[in-house]
Amino acid sequence: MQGFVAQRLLGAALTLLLATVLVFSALLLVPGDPAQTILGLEANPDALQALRHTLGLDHPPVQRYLGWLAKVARGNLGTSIRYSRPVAELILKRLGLTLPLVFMSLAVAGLLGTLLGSIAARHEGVSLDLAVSGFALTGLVLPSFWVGLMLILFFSARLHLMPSGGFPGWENLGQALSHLLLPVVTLALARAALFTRIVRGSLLEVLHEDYIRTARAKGVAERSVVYRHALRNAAIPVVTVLGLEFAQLLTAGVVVESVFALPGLGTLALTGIEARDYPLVQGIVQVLAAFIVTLNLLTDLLYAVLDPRVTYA
Amino acid sequence: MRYICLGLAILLSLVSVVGAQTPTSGGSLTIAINAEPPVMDPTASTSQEIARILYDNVLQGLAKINVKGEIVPALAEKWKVSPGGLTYTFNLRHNVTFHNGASFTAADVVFQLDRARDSKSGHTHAEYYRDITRVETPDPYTVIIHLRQPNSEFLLNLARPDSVISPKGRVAEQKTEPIGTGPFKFATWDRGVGVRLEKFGQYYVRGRPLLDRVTFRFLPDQNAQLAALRAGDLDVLGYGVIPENALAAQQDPNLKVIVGTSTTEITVGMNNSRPPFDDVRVRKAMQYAVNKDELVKGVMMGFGTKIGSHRSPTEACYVDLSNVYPSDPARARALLSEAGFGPSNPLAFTFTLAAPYPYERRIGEAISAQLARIGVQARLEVVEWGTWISRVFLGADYQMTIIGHSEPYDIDIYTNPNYYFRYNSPRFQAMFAEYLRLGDAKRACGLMQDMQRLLADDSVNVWVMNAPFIAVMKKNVTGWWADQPTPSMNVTEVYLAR
Repeated sequence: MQGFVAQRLLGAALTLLLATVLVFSALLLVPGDPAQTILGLEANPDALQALRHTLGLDHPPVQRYLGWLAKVARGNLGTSIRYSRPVAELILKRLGLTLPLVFMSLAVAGLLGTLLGSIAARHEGVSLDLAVSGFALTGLVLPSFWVGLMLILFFSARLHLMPSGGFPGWENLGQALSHLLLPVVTLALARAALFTRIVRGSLLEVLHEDYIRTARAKGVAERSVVYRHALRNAAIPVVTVLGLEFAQLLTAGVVVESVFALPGLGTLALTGIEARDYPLVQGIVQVLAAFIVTLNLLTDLLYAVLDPRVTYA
Repeated sequence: MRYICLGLAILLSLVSVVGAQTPTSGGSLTIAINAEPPVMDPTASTSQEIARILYDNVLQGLAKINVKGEIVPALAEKWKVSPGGLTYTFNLRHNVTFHNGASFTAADVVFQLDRARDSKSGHTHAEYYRDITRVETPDPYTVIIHLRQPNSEFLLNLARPDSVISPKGRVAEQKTEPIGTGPFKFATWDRGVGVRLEKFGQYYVRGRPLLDRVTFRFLPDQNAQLAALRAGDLDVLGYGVIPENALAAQQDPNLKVIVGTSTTEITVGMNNSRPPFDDVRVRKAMQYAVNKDELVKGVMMGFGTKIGSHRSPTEACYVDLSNVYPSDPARARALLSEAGFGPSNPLAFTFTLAAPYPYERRIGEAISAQLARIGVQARLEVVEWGTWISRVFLGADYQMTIIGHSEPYDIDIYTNPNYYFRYNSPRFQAMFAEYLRLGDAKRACGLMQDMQRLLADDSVNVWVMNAPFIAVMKKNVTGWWADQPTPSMNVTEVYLAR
């Protein structure tokens, strides 16, 4: 087990390094100048040159990359070109919103998806199954920006029950949660639909296995067959997708962040890319890559917990 | 008795009318802004969002542009220009305090002007001040500026957001925590969220500002903006509201819509240095092929004013040239045929659209369809903003594009042969130089109109329309600017009617 973890961590370090090279090269290849995006279109050429010098953009790319890497090795992610603030500070602040948002969305989606998926599997082919599958299909095809807007129009503009957007910070927990409720529902809806379909499919497959037939033959109650025996085995694909969705939602929530005016990591990444703010983009990629690598490791370890046949010798 | 009742009724109605018009103090305002500025200093970036938040609200210069587009005193009480136009004497206001408590004096003006005209200082528009030879301060409240040659736009340049005055010696800090002399002081900038301004108690105009607090929230999604306004989380959508949302807001009894003019010329830029638009006949064919009325009515739902040169109706010395090239497909075809294009050899080119600007993108798509009617193939290509800046704006590596030029009074861009449409006209350059040196305002204005005509004659670009200034707000928000002679969400006189 320890050997497996050590091997994965070494692989993770190499992945992170490769990610920095790829992102840095990509930002070099796409046209654009950070100084110009700060000073604006009409800026005078002397001012542009002066800013490029201040930002160190007049150095060769390799020198800039190595300089950045040396700083990272010392635990410093550098300073954002766009915001003139430490990258770590910007990312941490955004993670303070994005992480709870993603966790809550996935928790809601996971619970709802498991519940609906198992109901559909238990009632395969009858009207309840069709209704659940209909929900799942609808949830998958509705674009999240539209769902978000509809929720705002109904719950905020019409009923005045929820704030329409923005985030006041965590000082007042009740207020913070009320601002996150609609975004969580918006993000959770599409994922719940996805999980419903996965759980249903996976559960149906498991329910046709021999050991389930044996359990039934032994007279085990159907509820117990489904929830105790089948669901645990059916959970493996869900755990895999959960890990992937988590990594994706960290930045892919940008559409929902935009509709609800939430200052999350997705918006920060987009701003960074638009401004060609390479320290900021690199910093975000590092953090994301670290999350993904850790999540993959945890997912692999979780397999062993869910399925005793899986071992990492 | 009847007369007494009538008299009372008249009195009451008069009181109610007067009451409705008397500005009331207090309250706060939350305003949506479409984009977040890169810095908070208009001398460090030409981003129009900086001026929209800070100009006159927080930061002021010697003069300013008012809602009518006039140049009026701000930190200078008055000024005098010498007969030859070479000396400007400014008498500064007394008892003006910066938001950090320091007194405003001539030393602050000198510091700002010295920095502004130093091309190495990082000031975004050092060229505005290049005619200054010497600045004198005979006393703390008088500033005398000497120019090497007359400059018709000198006062205008001093009224631009680029000329705001900050406390002497304060440069780098201004980018993130601006200090000025305006009615509001800068409170916080929460990156990615918004900017908050607070009433400045020591503002030099008594009784102003009327609001206690103003918050600008960065919210790029137009539909989310309208939903938030309806939910009561926003009070104002300050500018750039899309036409369909303006129409929806007009149906809402709780909202009011302001439609005015802006300084934005929506311009189909043609690369004058490259085929096929290096041929004036092809450029003229584009003018006749584009139906501006159809674009205003169809794409912009009736909002916007068609124009015919690089000047907005709200700017001084504007001349209406919108009918110089009426929509005339037959004439367009004839011009193309003269230039060697026809059914057997159709004109085909790439039309580059910038992703972040929905107005322009939509108009571009419609223009492409209009051009198709005369057999012209405009292949649409959408690029993101950084690429547009690098490839089109800086590299002129394009054939046709469309963009809104929101900078006020910016006809001088046509004097630069390296500007992205690559228009190199010694005649235009000479006219502009002469315009700057003319002491006589009336003649200068005439020359400004001639320059607009020359641009239209040379058919440098297709100037489609002056973008509408559309703002939507709650019914009780009063005093919002009716037009945008300069990009600004000026809240100095704004109050909440009770």
